[in-house]
Amino acid sequence: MGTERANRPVAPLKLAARLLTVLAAAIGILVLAGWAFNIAAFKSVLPGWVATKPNAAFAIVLMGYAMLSSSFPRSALSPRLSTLRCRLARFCGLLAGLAGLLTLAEYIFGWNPGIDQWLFREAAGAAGTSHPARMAPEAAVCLVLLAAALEIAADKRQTGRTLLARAVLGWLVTTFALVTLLSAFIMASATFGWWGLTLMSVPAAAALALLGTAVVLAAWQEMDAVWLLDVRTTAAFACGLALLVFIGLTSSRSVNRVVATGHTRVSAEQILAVTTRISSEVARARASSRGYSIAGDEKFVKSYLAAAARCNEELAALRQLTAGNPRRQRQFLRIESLTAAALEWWQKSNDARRAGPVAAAGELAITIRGQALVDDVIEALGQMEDDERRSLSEFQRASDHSTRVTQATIVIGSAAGLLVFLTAMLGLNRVESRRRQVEVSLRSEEERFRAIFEQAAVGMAEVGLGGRWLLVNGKLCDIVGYTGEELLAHTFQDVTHPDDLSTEFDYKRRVVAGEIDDYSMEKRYIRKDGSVVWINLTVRLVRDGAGAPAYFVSVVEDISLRKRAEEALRSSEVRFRRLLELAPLPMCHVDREGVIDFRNRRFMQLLGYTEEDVPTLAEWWLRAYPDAQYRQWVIETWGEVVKRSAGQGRDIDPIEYRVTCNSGEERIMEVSGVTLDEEDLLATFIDHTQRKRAEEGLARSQNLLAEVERIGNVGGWEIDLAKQELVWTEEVYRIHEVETSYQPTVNRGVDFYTPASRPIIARAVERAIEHGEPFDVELEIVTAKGNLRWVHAIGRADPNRGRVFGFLQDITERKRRDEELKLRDDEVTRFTYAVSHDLKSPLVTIRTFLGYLEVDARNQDGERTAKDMAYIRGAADKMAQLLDELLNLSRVGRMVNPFVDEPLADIVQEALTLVAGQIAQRGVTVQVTGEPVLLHGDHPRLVEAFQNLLDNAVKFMGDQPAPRVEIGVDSSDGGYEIYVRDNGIGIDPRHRHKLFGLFEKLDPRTEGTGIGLALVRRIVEEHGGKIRVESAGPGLGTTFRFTLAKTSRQPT
Amino acid sequence: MVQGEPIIILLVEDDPAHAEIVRRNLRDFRVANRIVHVEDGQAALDYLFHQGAYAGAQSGARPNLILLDLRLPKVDGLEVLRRIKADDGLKRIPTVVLTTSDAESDMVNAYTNGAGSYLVKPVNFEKFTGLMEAFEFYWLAWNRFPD
Repeated sequence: MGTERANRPVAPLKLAARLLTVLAAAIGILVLAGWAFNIAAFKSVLPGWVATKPNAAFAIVLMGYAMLSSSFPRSALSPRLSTLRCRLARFCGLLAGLAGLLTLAEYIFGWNPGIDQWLFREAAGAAGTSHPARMAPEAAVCLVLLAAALEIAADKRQTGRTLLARAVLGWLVTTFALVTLLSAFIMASATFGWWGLTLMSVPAAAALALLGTAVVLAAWQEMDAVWLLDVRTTAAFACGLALLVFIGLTSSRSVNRVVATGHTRVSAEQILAVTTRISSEVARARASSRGYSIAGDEKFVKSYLAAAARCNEELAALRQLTAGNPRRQRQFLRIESLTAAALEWWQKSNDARRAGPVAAAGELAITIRGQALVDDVIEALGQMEDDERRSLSEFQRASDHSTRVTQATIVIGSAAGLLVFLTAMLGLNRVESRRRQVEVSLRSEEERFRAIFEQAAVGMAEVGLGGRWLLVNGKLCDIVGYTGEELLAHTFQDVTHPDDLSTEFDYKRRVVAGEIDDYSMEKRYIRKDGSVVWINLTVRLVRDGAGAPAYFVSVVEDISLRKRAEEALRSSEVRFRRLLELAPLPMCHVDREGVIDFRNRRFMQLLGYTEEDVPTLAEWWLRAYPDAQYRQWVIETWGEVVKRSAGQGRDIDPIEYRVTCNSGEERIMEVSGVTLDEEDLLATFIDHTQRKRAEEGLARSQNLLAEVERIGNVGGWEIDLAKQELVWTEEVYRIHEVETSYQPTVNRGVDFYTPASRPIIARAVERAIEHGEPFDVELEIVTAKGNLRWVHAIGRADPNRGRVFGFLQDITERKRRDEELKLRDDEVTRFTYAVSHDLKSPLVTIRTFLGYLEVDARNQDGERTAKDMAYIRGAADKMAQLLDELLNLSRVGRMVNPFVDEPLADIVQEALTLVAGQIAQRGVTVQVTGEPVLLHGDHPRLVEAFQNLLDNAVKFMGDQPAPRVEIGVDSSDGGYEIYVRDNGIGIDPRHRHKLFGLFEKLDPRTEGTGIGLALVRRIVEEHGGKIRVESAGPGLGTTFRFTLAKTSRQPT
Repeated sequence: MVQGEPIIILLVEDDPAHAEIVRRNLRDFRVANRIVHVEDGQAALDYLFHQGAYAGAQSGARPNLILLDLRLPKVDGLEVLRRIKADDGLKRIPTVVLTTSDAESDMVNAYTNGAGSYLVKPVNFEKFTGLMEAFEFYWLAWNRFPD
């Protein structure tokens, strides 16, 4: 409510108050005008009635202004002016009040400083007032009360009590004024109020009533929150009270009147008594005087003197009684003078008697004068008596009247009052029941509020302006670690972290000043245990009805978790920043304007460019790519990939650039990155220099390896155990004679092996796979093209990497060569063996038979000696022949002649020439094929071969009657096979294998050393060919078949 | 072996000169002996197994001793030895290898295949004679033959 006041339209009550104030002031001004311009109607409503005194009117005007002015709130626009205005208003009010106070003082203490007449003069013809130009005491009282109310209202902080005080004061003023007005109109004789003092004039009364009501209304307006009773009830009470007061006043007035009447009656009766006594004393005095004058007795003198004295006493008493009433005094004076005259006459008379005769005294006493005197006195007394009686009856009548009025008033008033009180009671009841309802709902509301307040998940509190905790909820206590009682004994400064205090004070000041409505800040509390907790504090200022700051409402949220999270985030951010900074990859960030605003350490380390070197992208282009043309290309391609990345929201495609470092060194870098916004991007550099070099090195070594593989006929293979895949290198494919598109598997690989080799390799591979046993075997495979090859298979297990791998080498060549070598070795061994044997044999023969010869020669046994010598010679010859042929054979191995193409026919012809003798002798028919075949080889050797074959054929004709030798050519898959067929003794199949053996002679009786065929074979093999022998059996002829590496058809 | 009967020696030798030497030596020895000379391995087997050219029970009495040269045409001496020792009827005949070869491998093979003795023909005349004498003494005089 309080905070909205400034914007609400002015309340009706306030408006009414202002209006009344204005009216009152207007009345005052009118009165003043009346005085100024001497308009009687303005001064007092009806002529003959009391006129409003000018000072009263002035005071009323002042008061009116004061109240009006103070009812307008201070304007924020011109604070100085408003302050001035306020001050002026207060001053006026005080001045008016002071006037009233002074007047009261004058009345009470009987001053008469004469200030009343300072301002204005009393007009003539005005109704008399007790104190001319002085305002009525009621008016004074009213002014004082009003001033008091105004002073109370001046306090910005209105409590219920002050408001009530104001209302009561205003109400009193109103009541006084109204009562005066009412009594004026009802009594119609009211010129004198209490204590015979001046009654308030009607205008003044009206004005004061208005002012009083204005005060009540103004207070009422503000009492809204405080005063619980509704208007009707309050009005009823007020009216009831007013009625009571009215009744009281009127009754007191009438009681006064009755009392006055009583007094009057008493005084009247006293006067009557006195007058009676005076008249009796006067009569006695007359009688005494007469008596003396007659008798001349002294006792008459005494009684006369006594009477006279008593008369004077009575007169004195009468004087006293008549004092204060001018009318009565006038009468008394008359009586006194008359009585004095009479007494004087009688005294004269007495003196005369004393002195003289009776007649003189008696003259005085009895004369008509004397009588007349007495008559006068008696008449005067009688007049006084009449007057008294008359006034008494008048008073009585008035008193009766007023009593009757009072009675009526009391009855009506009581009735009205009763009604009013009933209304009030009903109203109260209603108020009470409403209050009960409200209370109940309030309580439940309160409960709810309390629950909310207490159970809230945030701390809530009310904090006084000085910082003291006024109200705290449970959560706040939890946050701060104190109990509620402890907190309420402290201020918020006590629990706030000292570093946050100044900020908070600043905020609070601004809120209080009205610059901001509320504030929110993050600060630290220090808990009871000394630990620090971060909270988010939101504070709002609550203002009271008058707009003054009342207290703060705080909401406290424990953000320690959030703070910790923030801290963690910050430290994580720092960490990530550090990570970015220290990342092993050069990175830089380019913002929209092309400014490189971040480069990490690796960037500067690797590329050597610092912030000064390349602050912008433009610089970078220049420095990193010194060659203009290359630079152009770089800028273009880079721009493209960046655009693509931004457009499609993906990473920047990496491109390899040759980047020049600060040192001038060129590095090959893969530049990539991400676009963060339109032109914002983070670029990464991956140094591929090493890799490139390594790649090159690798490529080189791979090539080398491939070459080595090819040269060495070695391939590699690997079985991935997990994927069960077999991988071959190129060479292995080649070895198996399959295309590289062939998909090898372990089973298929094993199937290549010959049936003899397969189980071995299968077992070896199995053992390698399962137990990790390495193997090293030499086995035979059949290639895809059906060729038989020897392979050296090595296998190793690598369980760490889940693979079995190894090498495969084509060792066919080697095997062949090994075999060849072995054969040659064997041959050499056999050769040596044969040589040693076959040479040794004749040697043994020679030596032994030499011995025999010696013996036989001594014995002179001619026959024996001849035989011995024959043996010796034979052996020697044999040795010689052997040596010759051996030499020949060895020569074959060192073929020095170049290979040439020669027709078969020519070679055969030459050979035939050499064996012509044997052929002729045995009578062999030789048939040579006409096929135009070219043999490519060493001419003399080939001739030799044919020579030996022919020789052999002739030698082994046996008993064949028609010996025939056939030399021809068969074409056999792709090549030519040359054959030498004879129809001689043939070869026992059992002994065929020995045929080509060195020195092997199947028939020892035949000529020859047994070298011939070996020689032929050697020659054939040296020509890259193969020789074999066929024979159906003994006596069925022999066919020697051989191929040469290069045999071709003679071009026609 | 019946005392007094000549010891039949099968000489398997392809070189006639060597055969002559042996023959001459054995002829002069006091212990009676008869030499059967074959010139190649096949003939030796034929003789021993009564097959081929020697089919017929009459031709070819079972020898008491076999002198075997290793280097033979047709069938190698080692093979002959093997065959002899494989045959129940022939395996008890002591077989002495007489050869020019002094190769270790030949000797080992000979003994492995059941040769009784291995003799290398010396190149020296005296030595050869001495060898023959010793051979005669040992094998023909001292050695006992089974039936």
